[in-house]
Amino acid sequence: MTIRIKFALLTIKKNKHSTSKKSESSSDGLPIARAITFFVVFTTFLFALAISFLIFFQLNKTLKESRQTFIDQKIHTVAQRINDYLSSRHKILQDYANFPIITQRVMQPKSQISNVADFLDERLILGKKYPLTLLDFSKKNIYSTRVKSPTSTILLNQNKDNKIKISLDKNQQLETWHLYAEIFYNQLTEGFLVLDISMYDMVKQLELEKLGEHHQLQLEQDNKVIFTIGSLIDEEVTRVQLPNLKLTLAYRTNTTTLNALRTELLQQIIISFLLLWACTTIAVHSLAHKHFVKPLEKLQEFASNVANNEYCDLNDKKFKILEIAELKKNFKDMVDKILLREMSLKRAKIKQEQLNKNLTHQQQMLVQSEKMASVGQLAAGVAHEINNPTGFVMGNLEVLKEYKMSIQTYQVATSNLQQAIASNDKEKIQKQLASVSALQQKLDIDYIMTDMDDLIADSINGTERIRDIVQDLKSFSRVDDTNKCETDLNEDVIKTALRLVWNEMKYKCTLEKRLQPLPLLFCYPSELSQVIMNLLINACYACEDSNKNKGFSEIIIASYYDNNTIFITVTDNGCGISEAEQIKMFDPFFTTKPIGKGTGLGLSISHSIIKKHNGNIQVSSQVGKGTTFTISLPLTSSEKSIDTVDPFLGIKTC
Amino acid sequence: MLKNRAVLFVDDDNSVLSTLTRLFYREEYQVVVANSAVAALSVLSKQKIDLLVSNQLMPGMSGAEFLQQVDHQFPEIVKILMTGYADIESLLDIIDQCNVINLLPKPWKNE
Repeated sequence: MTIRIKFALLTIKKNKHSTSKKSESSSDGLPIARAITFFVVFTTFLFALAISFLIFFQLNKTLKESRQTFIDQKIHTVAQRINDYLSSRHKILQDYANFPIITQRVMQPKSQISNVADFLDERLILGKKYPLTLLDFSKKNIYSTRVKSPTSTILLNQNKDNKIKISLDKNQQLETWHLYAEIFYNQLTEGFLVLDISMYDMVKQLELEKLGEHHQLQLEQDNKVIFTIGSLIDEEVTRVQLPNLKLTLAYRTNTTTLNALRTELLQQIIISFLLLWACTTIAVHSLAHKHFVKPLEKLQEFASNVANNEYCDLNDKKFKILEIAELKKNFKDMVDKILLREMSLKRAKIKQEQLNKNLTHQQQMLVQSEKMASVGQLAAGVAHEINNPTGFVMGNLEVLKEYKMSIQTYQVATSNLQQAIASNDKEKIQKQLASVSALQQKLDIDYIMTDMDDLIADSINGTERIRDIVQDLKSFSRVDDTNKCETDLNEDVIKTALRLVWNEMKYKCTLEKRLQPLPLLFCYPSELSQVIMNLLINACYACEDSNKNKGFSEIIIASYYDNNTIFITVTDNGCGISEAEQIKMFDPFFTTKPIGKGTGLGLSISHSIIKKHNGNIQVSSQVGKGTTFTISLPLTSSEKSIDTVDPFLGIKTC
Repeated sequence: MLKNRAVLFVDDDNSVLSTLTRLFYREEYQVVVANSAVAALSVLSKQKIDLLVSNQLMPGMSGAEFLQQVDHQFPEIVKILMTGYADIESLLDIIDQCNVINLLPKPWKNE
């Protein structure tokens, strides 16, 4: 119980310590000082337990042995003392028995009774009066000094082995020793002199009562207890034979004292063990804290500093534990290496950024040049589209010049008429009026006035057409359009591309637009319209190539929105693309056009532009029947790769 | 004033046609216009035309094809090819094939 309480106290104490530590470090797990303490406490507990038990058992054994020796000595002493007590008195008795008056009295029982009585009455044995009895050879009572029952018969148990002649009472419970000496005459036993010694007298004389306080002393004869000193004790017995007597001395000692002693010993051992244990625990904990925890905490602090990009010097810290010192050294080396590596990484990153920048620039240049090449392909159509309005606007202006001349002539006539009216010359007025009406007829002034409106409207329309086409070209070939914006693909991408291509397309094929309303897409509109234009030019080319004899060419451009994705399809009924060509068609510089007609970069660049928008471009084609290109552009995740540069621009390395 | 000579202008652009009509308004020609090869052929089948001026680039039937047909059906008509194409070289074949007497580039000079 004590151990448990003590242990619980220790645990609480340790817990207090460890919780305060724990709040500092956020990570889970056993603190090292606590762990070491725990292991030490556990092992010392086992060790001390074993040692304590060993000591206890050894001590107990020694205790038992020494006690046994003590008991043996004691009982021998007691036996010796009893023996001495009896034999000294027997010797005196024997001397008395040899007195002539005693011998004479035994030989002649009828005479000198009074002399013998006087003699026996006066006898002192070791300064004390004992009852003496004289018996004749037939053990008949001759004379006795006994006060009580002087005539009681004493059964003499003649045992020749006993040096001390002794007999016991009949009732087997010894109260009185009957010591006797034989009276010889001519080597014949003629009588006996008997000495009664009270058992209690002997006990008193030998001071055996004290012994009875904690021990039990028993006299046994033929395994029967005849006398007991002390209270009954049910314990282990030690027996010793009394010398010169056929008696056994049985000795029992009370073990309560021994047990009490033993318990006290055990308690002392436990207390000292617990004290030692507590001291060890405290010492181990503080040592572990000093030599393990603090260095490790320093290292941990250093590590977290490194993680936060704060470097501090570890050199001033001296660690006594070899492994921790080495760990510190290795850790420091590692951090140095990390710093070096970080620096080289930074340098490499700057270099990489420069390269990426260059690459982006190169890519932009490439895209731009392809764009220009596309414009080149459209040049003929665009030129025609500019020349046409220019032609009729110029023609109109020529006509306008003529109209102006006619009007001027007419105006001269009318001013003449005005002058005539002013002069109020009727004849003149008539003449001028006729001339004006003639001129009006001749110059067809009415027609001029009506037609001039149409002429001006036509001319304005023509110049607007030129302006628009130039505007489209300008917006298409713009280089600085590098920002993403929310775009309606139908209006700002498909229709822009169509306006430019339409000039070329309209003479070659019909176009069907199936544009469904689309959500705004965050994208680069100029790049996407380049892709659409490229697909339309390709479709035109495919139709032109194959439908010369067929007569009917059709291109369908469709857009729709489904499942968070915008789809744009360009379908033609042209020559189609063979499977072998389909594999290679997104490769750079692959073209089926004659030399000088195409760069072979159109689809490759289109592919990389669509990939840049996280989209996909797919083709399905049947040779001789037509081709459908499908572009899919996801609405979400368009933010993802704004800055990622496709360094190879879709160029596959084979 | 009776205009006894008829000129047919064929162009897909109505603005071009109206300009041409204006230009020839004062001349002694009857001006007829058609805005496609198909329309022109129907005009040709209805009335006599002396001079035919056709644009090259037109949706449906191109000028070259049209002139070829005209040359085949009405060889007596004088034909002029009008074009906004800068690439004149490529049109020389058409001139040879269709008995075109002149090539009128756009933008034209009025004289």
